[in-house]
Amino acid sequence: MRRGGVRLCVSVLTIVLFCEVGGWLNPATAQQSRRRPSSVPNPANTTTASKARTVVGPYLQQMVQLGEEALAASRAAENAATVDDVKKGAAQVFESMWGMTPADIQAGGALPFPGWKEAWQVTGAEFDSAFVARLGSNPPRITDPAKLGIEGRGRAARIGLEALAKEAEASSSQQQHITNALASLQDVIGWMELWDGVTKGERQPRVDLTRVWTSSDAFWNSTSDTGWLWEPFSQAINIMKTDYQGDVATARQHAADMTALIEKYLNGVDADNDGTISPVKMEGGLYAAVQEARAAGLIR
Amino acid sequence: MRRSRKPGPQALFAKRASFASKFDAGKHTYMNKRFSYFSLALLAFALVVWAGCAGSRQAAPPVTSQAPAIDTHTNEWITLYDGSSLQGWHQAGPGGFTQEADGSIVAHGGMGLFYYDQRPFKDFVLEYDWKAATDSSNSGVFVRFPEKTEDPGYAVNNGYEIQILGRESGNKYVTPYHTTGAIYNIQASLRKADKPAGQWNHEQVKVQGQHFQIYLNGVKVNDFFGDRGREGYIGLQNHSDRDRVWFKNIRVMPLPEGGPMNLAEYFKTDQTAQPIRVLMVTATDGFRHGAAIDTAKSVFNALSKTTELQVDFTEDINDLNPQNLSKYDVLFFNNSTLRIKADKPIPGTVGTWDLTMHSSRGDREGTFVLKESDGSYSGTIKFEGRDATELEDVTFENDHLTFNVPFGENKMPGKLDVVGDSVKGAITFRNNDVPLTGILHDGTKTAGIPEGTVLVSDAQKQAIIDFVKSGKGLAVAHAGLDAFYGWDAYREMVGGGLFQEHPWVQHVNIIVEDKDNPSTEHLGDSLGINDEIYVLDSNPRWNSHVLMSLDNQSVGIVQGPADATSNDVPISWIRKYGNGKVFVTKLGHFADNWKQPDFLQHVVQGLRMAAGRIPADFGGYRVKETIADNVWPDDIAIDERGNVWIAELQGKVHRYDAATGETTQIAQIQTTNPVNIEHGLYGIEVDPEFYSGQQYIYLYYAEPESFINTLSRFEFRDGKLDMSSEKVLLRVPTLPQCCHQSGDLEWGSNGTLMLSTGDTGMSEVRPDWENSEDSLEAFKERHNLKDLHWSRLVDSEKSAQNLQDLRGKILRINKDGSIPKDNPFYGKPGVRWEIFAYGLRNPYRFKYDSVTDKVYIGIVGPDEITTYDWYDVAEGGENFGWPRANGRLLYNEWKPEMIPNYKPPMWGYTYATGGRSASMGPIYRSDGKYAFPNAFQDKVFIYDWARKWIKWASVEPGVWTNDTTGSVKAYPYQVAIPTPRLKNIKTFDVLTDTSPISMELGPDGSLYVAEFTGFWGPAPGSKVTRYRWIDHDQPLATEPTASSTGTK
Repeated sequence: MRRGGVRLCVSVLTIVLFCEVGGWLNPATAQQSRRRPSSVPNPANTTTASKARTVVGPYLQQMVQLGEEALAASRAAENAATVDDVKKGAAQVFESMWGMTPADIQAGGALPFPGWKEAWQVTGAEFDSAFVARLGSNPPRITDPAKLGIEGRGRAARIGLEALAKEAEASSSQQQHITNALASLQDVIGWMELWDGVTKGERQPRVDLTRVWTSSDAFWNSTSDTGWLWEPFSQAINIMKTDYQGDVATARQHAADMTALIEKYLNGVDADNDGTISPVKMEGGLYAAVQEARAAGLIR
Repeated sequence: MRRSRKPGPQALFAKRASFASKFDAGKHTYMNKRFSYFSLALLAFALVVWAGCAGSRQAAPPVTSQAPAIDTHTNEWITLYDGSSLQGWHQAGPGGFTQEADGSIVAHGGMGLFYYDQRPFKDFVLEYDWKAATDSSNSGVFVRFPEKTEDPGYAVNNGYEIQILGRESGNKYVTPYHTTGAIYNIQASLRKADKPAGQWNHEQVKVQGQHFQIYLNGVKVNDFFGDRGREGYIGLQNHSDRDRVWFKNIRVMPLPEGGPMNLAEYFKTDQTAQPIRVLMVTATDGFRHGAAIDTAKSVFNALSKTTELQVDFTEDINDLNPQNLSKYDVLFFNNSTLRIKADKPIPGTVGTWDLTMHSSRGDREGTFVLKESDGSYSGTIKFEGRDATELEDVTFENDHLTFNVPFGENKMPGKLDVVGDSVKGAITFRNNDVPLTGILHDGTKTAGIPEGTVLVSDAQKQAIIDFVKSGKGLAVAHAGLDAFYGWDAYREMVGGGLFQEHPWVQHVNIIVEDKDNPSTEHLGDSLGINDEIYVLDSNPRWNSHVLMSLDNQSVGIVQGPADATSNDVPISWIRKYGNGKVFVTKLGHFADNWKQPDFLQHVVQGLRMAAGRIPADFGGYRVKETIADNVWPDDIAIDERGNVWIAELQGKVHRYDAATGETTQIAQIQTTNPVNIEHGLYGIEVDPEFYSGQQYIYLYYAEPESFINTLSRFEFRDGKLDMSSEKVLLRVPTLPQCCHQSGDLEWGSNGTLMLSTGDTGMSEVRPDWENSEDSLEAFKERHNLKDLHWSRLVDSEKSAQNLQDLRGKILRINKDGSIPKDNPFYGKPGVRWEIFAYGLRNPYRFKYDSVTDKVYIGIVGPDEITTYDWYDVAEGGENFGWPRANGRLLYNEWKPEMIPNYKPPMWGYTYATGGRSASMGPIYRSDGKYAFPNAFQDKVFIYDWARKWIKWASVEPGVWTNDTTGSVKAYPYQVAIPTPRLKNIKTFDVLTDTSPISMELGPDGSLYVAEFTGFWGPAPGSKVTRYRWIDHDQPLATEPTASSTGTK
């Protein structure tokens, strides 16, 4: 089973999600409602397993909702009548990533980004004191992951999943599903964690890219191993920052490329060409993460 | 070549007697002498082999050809060998030539002489093709041997042998007098131009009168005047069975009889020309270039009869008095070693002696250096064209030196007795002594005269000064620069530098920097010559017009040192001293060079320029000015009117007003405190249309708290930056950790704005733990990283190799913030289209070259002993490899093809030679008022913050090779990738109390440097300085400056 099989697998997954999770995960419903996902507790303050159970499922569901809204917006942009309309679609994709609305979608407009504190959802206490000493004592502007789009929710969900994975009473089956959900989630959002500094001994955020060192040449030659979500995000920025000078055809093509990248992080990738998308590193996407979370009992 | 030719009995006796009389052979019996001769021959051969083994070979210079000047269209060719018939050829001596299937003939056996005996030739052009089986295959082509003969040795002694003997680099015992292109034992070849063994070479020989010119593969390899017969036969040498050399397409074209019979005829000028009266001083105190002096005297004596040069010669210093000097137009210090006293001790060096080894194959010149440290002695011995060999077991007591010279697994004992400024002794090989003699070159001992002895009186010195300053000429050749060390005026006259060492006695390629000068216009791009090349203790480039300089690649220095070493070796220059005109050349060590027409023409024209008879540009001098000393500059930008915009790391912005010379603070931007994390205000640029209404200044800085690096545009109003006018063009999110922010701003093609961004990785990447497998494993164990792939220990994969991230990149945007559609990744889905190049660690400074449309980048590497800083160049889309590659290291056993779009470096250097911060300066192109000379045009400037030097270099095609050993995970196989390389890297200046941190080219050709002190905060001494080139006719400084320094 090759590409057709992948599509079939993804379709089945979508149906399962629709049936099991509820109608609000239906892409059509989400597209129509355009409602914001509701807020959930900050996992930075709820990292015990029991509390994590309350947040991981909703965060993952909201991520799917935002992703599918972005997909719909991108597909609409592919058929937009004007360059401005294409850019509006790109702006929505941009917003899905970090929850920030671009103030100016014209070519020369500056795009907002979360500062490092917002991006990290920390107060500073997590870091080494020497590191904190350099940062000032002001708290982050935003402390709620739900205000930070797919990426903010994903990072919060990751913290919860890690806490659940360490839960002593979890069955081996549950742990496997949680591990699978983590792997798939990481493919989407990338991941960072706190490490002790190597030589300076400071506890700082570092990238954990894959932990897979027997990867194929294709992996090493890729340039997107910090999370597939960053690809449509980059494409959305590109579209907004390009002066198309009325060339809507080119803008639409760029939107079509954006659509394919969104589908990638939602559906995953059949990296080993075995005809299926497994919930593992380099294959599982957001749907796979939700499916595995559900199998682990985190989504009812 | 006659390497194995045996002398007849009489010759043997004569050689033996001569040797015995010189070197105490009286103790030997006749039989002993006979044995001794054989042994000495063997010994001489072995010593020459050893001398050849003593170091690495010189690199073959890139041949900058001189087009052959042979007109072959006027007469008929006579085919001597057409590929089928050898009729008309005669073999003398053993061996011969056999025909091959391709129509060529190949030598076998020998030694023999195979010649065309049908007729002799007088003036002619001879052409032939040849190829050699190996680099050591020996043969030659004979011309003008006057008689038919059965003696194969006759041709070499009575005609001329145009030598064929492979490439010098592949042959251990060949001097420039015995290598391809040489006239065997008569005239050294000018340069190496032969192709590798196995390839056909095309050679042309033009003989007219007594003027011989040899062109090999289109390049002049010899040019001399003979003194043997006017007519003779043409032949080939079959040297031995080992020396397989093929010939084909042999033909000759007789020319009408004529041509110069000697140099005097060749240089003959209109006798009505006003005489140029020259006093050539050849007095010496110290090493005497006796043969060169004698030849030069003979040649100039002859020229005095046929040219306007009227040359007198003196060995008497007393002739340097006002009355006598008044008779002359030019004073010519030619090989006038006049040390007065050797007052230039080299720390730790007891002495340096110019050495001569007297072997049966002739004399060979070299150098012997003796050093002392804490009572222990060491030293080196070196012979011409070879690297120095470290001596072993050195003792020095009561002026008696003993030592051992390593030779393979053996040692050759040596001894030298020091007597005054001379040494005498021998090296012993297989119980036979090969004599050595030498004379002190410099050191702590006096040079043959008591300390304080005055050779030239104050009155004589003043007479010379007055003579030159009055508008007369001064010429200096070779050892004339080994003179008058304690006399500052002489030093100044010749350009500021005097002899320091002569590292190269060999074939060199001399680059002609000014092809329009009367003394060089006949040379084309370069001069090939066999000579002794001086390195001076100060570079005359900064106050002279350099005409020619050493092609460093011809002495094996392909790129250059990463330390403060000058690596800049001007060979000839002219300059002004007062109203006087000065011509200096370092050449002229060997006697035969004074008979070499190209070199002699250079000197003759130099004398004419010094005499003021032919006009020339005598150049100017470099001046350095401090223009702002009340700033702590991090980055600077220059506008079209020469105003300087200055950014400080802690947020201050200043403007230097070129019209008033005043510097004013114009802004204080709110940014992150840079202490410990390197964040702050990084870069500044000024809009190229600033004076056309767009008065914008562009700043790249870190937003406080958010740690988002931000590129913004501000309006300049009423002498200040209007901070409320900020328009954010680009945001680059980062982390609040040290370091590698980069942040240089430059204007790119089509009005785009370019920005360098660092990987923002921790400085701890690639630390010492990678130096051994054990330390690597211990590190991973200590940090619980055993399951982590080694390469992923490096943070920078997330930034430098990640095309969704703007860090570790060169970025390119339109100046309104939009994305240019000609960016390399434009249209590629899912990657940021602002990216121009990637895989960079800390590209602290870069420059765009509008002429080549390329971006040159200096990249700071990790703080680890085997890692590199490096320089590179981008045209768009390149991946410079970090953190998968670093300089010459391919980490993680990666092959280059595993790094997409990989571009290897132009040059790099490691921590092994000290701290480093590779930074890119301007690509110099200017014809402005203060523009530097032509030699600087099209060159790139580079500088290093840590090492404090500023260098200039050319960008040329080359090959990058990887370092297979610098890391335990380095790719273990040698890789060679053709790529542009920095070559002829030379030092422009070395700062002392400050470090160069930014460098720009001004609209008038001035070079501006931001000089930095302190680290995270300001420190006294920081400033902005400016280098300018001032023509001799210009005033020293034309605008207000804080201070100026320069040598006129």
